Amino acid sequence: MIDKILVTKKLETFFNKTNPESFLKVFVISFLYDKVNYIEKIVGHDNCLNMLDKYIYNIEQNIKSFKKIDKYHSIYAKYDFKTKSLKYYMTNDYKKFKTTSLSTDNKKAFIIKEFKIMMYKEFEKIINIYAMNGKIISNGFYLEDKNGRYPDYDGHFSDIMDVFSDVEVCNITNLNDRIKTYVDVDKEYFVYSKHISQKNSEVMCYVDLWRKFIDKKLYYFAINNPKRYSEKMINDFNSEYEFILNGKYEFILKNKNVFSLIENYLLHIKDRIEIDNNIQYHQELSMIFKMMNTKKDIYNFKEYVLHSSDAKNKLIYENL
Amino acid sequence: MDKKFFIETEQLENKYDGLNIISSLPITNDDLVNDFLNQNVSLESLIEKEIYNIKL
Repeated sequence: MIDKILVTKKLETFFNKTNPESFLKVFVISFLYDKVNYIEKIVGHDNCLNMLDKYIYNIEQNIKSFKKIDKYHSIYAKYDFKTKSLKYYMTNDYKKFKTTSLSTDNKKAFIIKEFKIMMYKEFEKIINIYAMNGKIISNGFYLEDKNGRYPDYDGHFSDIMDVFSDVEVCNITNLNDRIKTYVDVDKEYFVYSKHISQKNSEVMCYVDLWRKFIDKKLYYFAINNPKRYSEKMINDFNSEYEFILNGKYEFILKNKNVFSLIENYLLHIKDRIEIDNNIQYHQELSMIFKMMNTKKDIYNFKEYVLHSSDAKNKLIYENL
Repeated sequence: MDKKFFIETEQLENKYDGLNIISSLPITNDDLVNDFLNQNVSLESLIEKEIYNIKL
């Protein structure tokens, strides 16, 4: 087991260069400690130590400062790649919270937890960005490839990594609040979310489910060394589930392989592209996973896909 | 110096396993970080302090 003291020692240079407030130091140490202790069980001790070194290298390269912003209406954390700065704001308010009726203590605990997750998610993205001469070479398992993927910050595949990062930090911290998130104005359909996220609530559980169809160890290898393992991870997945595209169903979105198709649905839902089709995107994405699950039989599969509030509303995918 | 210190700390930990001797040793020159490493404060309590201006 990798202890906090080792993590702290490895961060010494970074702390000396950036001189953050003490509580921010604790945040970085706590995140890396939680992260490595989660992945060590999957990738093994030696690989984990190598990955920790890469995480710290990327932190040193990608964070030049922490900046507490002057005023914001809510808790906030966002990494800015251009200025290499992690910006944050702390307050006892969270605007996604207004409609709930929690006690003061529960609200406090909730805001603390959400702020922790916000910061952890930004750290998760930062440790996975490898840049050279100001250009991002990879962000997680994405690097520029012949299928049109690219790792640019704030681009489509940065958006996908944002969801993967959300899911990863929920898994690291064992967080699953099962928050009901309606996907239509009539509140007939909903998905569960592991925590409140302005942008990822509708897609978080799909990505969590998707991870269960990707080899656990290979996933971390692909992120650690995308040049060597990313293509293999994507190709392995496509070979296993290519039968989905060979079936009779005509998907509303068109892609040449299943991995790209899932990415496409996630982006359409997350980025509100042609929002009138949102229910259909959810139904078809749920159907894709249901077809995949015929080979895997994931425990509690239904928790991760689209639900109907009304039993009369039979989902399209249930009938196929 | 640091390397030696950490090796010694590890040996102490092994020798006095169960005595929680590590809790009194300063690990960095930052008191708050030391408190966190020695499990005297949690990340959550620090966030709470920052948000609600509470004295720990």
